[in-house]
Amino acid sequence: MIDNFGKTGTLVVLSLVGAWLLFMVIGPQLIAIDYSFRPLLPLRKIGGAEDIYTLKNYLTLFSNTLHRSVFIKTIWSSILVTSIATAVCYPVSFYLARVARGAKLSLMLMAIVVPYWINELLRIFAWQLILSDAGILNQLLMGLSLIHDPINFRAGNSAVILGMVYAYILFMVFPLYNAMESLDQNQVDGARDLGASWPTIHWRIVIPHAKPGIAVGCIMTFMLTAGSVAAPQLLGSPSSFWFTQIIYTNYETANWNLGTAYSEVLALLSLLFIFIMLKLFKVGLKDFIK
Amino acid sequence: MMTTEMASNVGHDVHIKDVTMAFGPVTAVDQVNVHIPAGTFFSFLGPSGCGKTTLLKLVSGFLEPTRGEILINGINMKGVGPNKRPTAMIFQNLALFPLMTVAENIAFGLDVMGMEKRQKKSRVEALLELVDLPHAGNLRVTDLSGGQRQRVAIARALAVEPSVLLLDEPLSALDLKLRKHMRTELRQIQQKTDVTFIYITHDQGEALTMSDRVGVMSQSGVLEQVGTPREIYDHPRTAFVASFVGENNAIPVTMAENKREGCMVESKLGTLSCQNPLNIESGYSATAFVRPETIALVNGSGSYGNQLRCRILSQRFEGAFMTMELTADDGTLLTLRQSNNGRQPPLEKGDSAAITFSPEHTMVLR
Repeated sequence: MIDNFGKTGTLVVLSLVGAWLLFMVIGPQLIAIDYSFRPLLPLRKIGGAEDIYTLKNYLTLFSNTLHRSVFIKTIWSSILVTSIATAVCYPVSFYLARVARGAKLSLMLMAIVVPYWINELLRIFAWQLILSDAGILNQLLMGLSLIHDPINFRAGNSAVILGMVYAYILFMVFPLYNAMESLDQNQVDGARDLGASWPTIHWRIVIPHAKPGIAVGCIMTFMLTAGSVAAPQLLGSPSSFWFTQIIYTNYETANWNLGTAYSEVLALLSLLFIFIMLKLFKVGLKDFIK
Repeated sequence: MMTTEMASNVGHDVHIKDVTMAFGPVTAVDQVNVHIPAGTFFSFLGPSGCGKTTLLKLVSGFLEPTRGEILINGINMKGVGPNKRPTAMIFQNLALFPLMTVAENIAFGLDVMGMEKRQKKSRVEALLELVDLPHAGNLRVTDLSGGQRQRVAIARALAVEPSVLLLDEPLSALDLKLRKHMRTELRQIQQKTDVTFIYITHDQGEALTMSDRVGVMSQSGVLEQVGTPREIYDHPRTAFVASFVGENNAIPVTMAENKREGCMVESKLGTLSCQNPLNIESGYSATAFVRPETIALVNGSGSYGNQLRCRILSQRFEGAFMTMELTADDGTLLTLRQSNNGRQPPLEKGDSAAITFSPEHTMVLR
């Protein structure tokens, strides 16, 4: 970098990046952590005798049974979304990386990327249009006389999970695609020549090679899913309450202390998930950044 | 899955019958017809882009021929996938599995067969012994040298007990010394295992030193000649083979008189007596080929039939032999190579010299 910008230039660039990190990332984060360890108090009592550091906000997650169950359900549902996304994206990515060529490949990549030119909120609204009682899917099924009354697709968790799988598919497809594309065709041919069937080739050659990509895809999808607000808000039913919605409600009701505490818990959960994935797939942090 | 009969560790013969492979308008392999006897070391020799790799892919089953058929042990291989053929391939870049150890690489084919664990272990050990890497089982393939990787690739391919082993220029990435060493080793492994080896190379040294038989392919995917290395070198049947295999002096000629015991041709060098293996009729133009090592300098009496006066353009002393570039009176360039017996009189650049070569060693080809 010194070669590119000179000594002064390097100093300026580095201090700009440093200032941005300090004021936009580290500072607000520290303030949030500070909030999370203080009790919720009326304005006049802030800074008074009762304003002491406490674990009360964090412990609420364990004492409040609703919050606790929503938290656990959010983890499970996020894992479910991540698993479904992996299962759906693996064959798609394999096809894109190793089978499709030329115009077909460009067309398919476009078909995957173009929806992402639209805001996430709108993509989820589209699913609402498809899945609602008077939506396209119900109209189609009724038009074909397959059903008489509209099905409530949005009862329970399934609409949220479907919406999220779709919303974050790109973040799974591209890491997988990148990883699979770099596999030498001779490895596949070599395994095939030694008598391996297609499932064996995938299990022993393609998946081990694509492991860093799978890990990265899972981490991205999990973090986005666990932290998503729009999908549960727009597609959810009362039974599909998401942990982010609890955080949101706390901010809305001016209980920032509990809100920040829960936000920190969510951040820790994501960090823990990254750590588990990296261990599980024996992938280094370097691969993750790639 | 290979049947036990197919898996027996004895080579099978390969019959390539009228095989043509076209990729759109491009014909990569053109009506190739060859029978490769069981247990032989057979090389396809040709310049890059002559379709020899395509031919190997056809035998291994990665490609199906446009026309013609391939028989292994008399069985037509049409529609049989690469994982079901009794062949194993060693790829040009070896295609070892980088995430597996040496032993895991070699055991891959055995895993696929579902071989029992203890049997598998002893088989892997035996193979490591065969390729002279007895203690390398737990190493990563990325920790090995080029020559060692080569051997792992051979062991991995032989593990599935193929009756035909296909090798796609596997030595091309090695340095010269190692390449020469591996030639001997490959040959020894072939003789020990009795597996049919089909070897692809553009390196005539490899083809001539290792093979029982060589098939020379030309740029257009045509199999020009099949024979023992000696036959290919001493008795080329086409102008392409004569100029591609080894060094050769090529002299444009016109057939003057075609007789059974030999022929006379006209050239800018004058009238020459030659062999006419293709029985080219009088009046046709052709090329006469003379190997540099069959040309001798005339000192005193000895003459081999054809005799010319030349001037020495340059000479290169290489210890065991001397290579001379000569120019004839009409400007034709000729190369001469003589072995060094320590008694040859020294010649200087620009000296004039008489050379001679016998009709027996002069082939008129087209």
